[in-house]
Amino acid sequence: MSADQQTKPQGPIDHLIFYFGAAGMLGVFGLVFYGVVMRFVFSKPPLWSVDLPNLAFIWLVFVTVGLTTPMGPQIRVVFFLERMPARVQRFLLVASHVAILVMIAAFFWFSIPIIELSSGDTVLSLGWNGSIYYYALPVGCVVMAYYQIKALILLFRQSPDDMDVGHSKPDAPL
Amino acid sequence: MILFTLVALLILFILSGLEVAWAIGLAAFICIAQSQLTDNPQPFVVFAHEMTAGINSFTLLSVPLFIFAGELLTLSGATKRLVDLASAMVGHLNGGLANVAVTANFVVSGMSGSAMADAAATGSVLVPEMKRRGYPVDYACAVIACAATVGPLVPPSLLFIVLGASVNISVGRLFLAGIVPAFCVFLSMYALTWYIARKRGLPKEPKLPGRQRICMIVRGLPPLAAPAFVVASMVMGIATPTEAASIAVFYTLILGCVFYRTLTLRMVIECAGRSALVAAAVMLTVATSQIFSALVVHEQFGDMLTSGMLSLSRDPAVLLLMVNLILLMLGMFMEPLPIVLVLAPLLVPMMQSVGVDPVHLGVTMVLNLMVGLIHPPVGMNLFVVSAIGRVEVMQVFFQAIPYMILLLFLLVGVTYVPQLSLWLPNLIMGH
Repeated sequence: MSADQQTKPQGPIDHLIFYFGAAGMLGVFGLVFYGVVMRFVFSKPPLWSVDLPNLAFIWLVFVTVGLTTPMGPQIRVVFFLERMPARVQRFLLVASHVAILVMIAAFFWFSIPIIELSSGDTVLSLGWNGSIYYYALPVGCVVMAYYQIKALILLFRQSPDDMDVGHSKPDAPL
Repeated sequence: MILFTLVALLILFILSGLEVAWAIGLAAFICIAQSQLTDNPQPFVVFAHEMTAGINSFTLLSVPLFIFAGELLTLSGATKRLVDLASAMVGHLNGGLANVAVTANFVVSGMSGSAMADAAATGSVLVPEMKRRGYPVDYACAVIACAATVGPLVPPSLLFIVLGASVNISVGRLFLAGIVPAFCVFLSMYALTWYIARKRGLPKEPKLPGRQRICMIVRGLPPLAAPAFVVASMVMGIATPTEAASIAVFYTLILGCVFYRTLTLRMVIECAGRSALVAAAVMLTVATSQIFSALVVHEQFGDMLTSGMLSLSRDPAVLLLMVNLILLMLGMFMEPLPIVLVLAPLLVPMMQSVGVDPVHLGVTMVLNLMVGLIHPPVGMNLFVVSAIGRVEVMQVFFQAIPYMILLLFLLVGVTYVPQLSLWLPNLIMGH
């Protein structure tokens, strides 16, 4: 959604999140594969073979999804946007970033009662507090908000004539 | 009223360039805010809860793992080997590189399960080559955009996984059910390309010596073992989709690191990072679609849709026609993933109640949504290949019209001949 589309992580925060994602992906693969090997080779599947990979995956998604804003693997259609005058494009981009920020703030705010509600539960296979699943969303909200604000600042720094609204992403997945 | 606002806002946000995932979330958020002014307000807490609950599914965990396996295969050079395999098999026949593109997309689709990823992978290899050999660039792009639509029908299809997880259908059955329609799409696209190439006098590739062709075919076979194993393990009940996906990742790592020796540790880590971003983007769409679905249920849209459609007819053939028309219209403005997530839980029980098999309906839905990938305004395959070929989207679309008509004919076939999708799963897995 930002004006400048990156292809690689830039700066320490980008790198931290990118490598967190890489570690998460390898971790999820490792946990699921370990469960498969233990089940088929040793007939002793670990108790956590479903819950722990799910938990790792939820954290992976919410922490890394913010980085999709500058690195752009999200699906979007700019066919109409790129045919509009530069000032209208800028207005629409600013309005979308602001609207997304408001929505992220709502996610953050309304995730707190869910954390409170689930803090009485226990994940039986892990023995951990049930709220650990729901902490991922507010943490992710902070990361998402950071990238939305960064994109807004970048947008304001550019003159309307230099603006690049982006393009459809070849690596968009579905 | 809220429902109308929801759909209108969604279309408006998508067309104004907002990312699809955020557009869905934002439309739902505004409608929840609007519902606070009514007698039946939707609590905001549901909004936040569905974000996490929507992706907390072991079956959906197979999606990032399949994405990772696909990225690893591409990085290890498997796409090039598969294009070579297709070239060795059909490059010297009528249709030349255009039919290499059709065949390559069919074999590559077993790696990624995503139409756009396939279009990008084969397009980046074949469009420059076709340009160099004198193919009109808009036609080259159109062939690849259309041929890639076969991807979501070939296992491991990400859309089938999401569909299976959202309406509790066996993913193994869906994978098997997609195979015969995928072959039909492939063969008919091959025949159409053969006819167009002959009519326009498009160039053929020189026939390679037999030994070289065999060598190219053998080199391309190992990547094809991954989808074959995925289907076999799931159909035989050995592994769940997620376990099969983890084995596919393991196999691709062995292939890239040990046999091809094209992958280094650094490349694997970078690839894992990129796959995590792609998976996160997909899952954000899944999560926001769950909020959208919750709102649709809250507004009793399911009951309205079911009673509305059933009041018009209870004939499965007529209902299937209506379902297809609704999906074709929505496919003009929305991406396949959110459509499946929102509509499948409403349509599958209704169609099941009039005797339509959910697996048959699933295959029909996925094939229908593939048509949307090759027509404007939201034809993502067109955007992807037109960016690669640096050609206007509308030019590519005009070249894609014969293929789109062909896909519509095939859709009619798959809709009204259930055996096309049900024969194989019934044969292998029983009724």
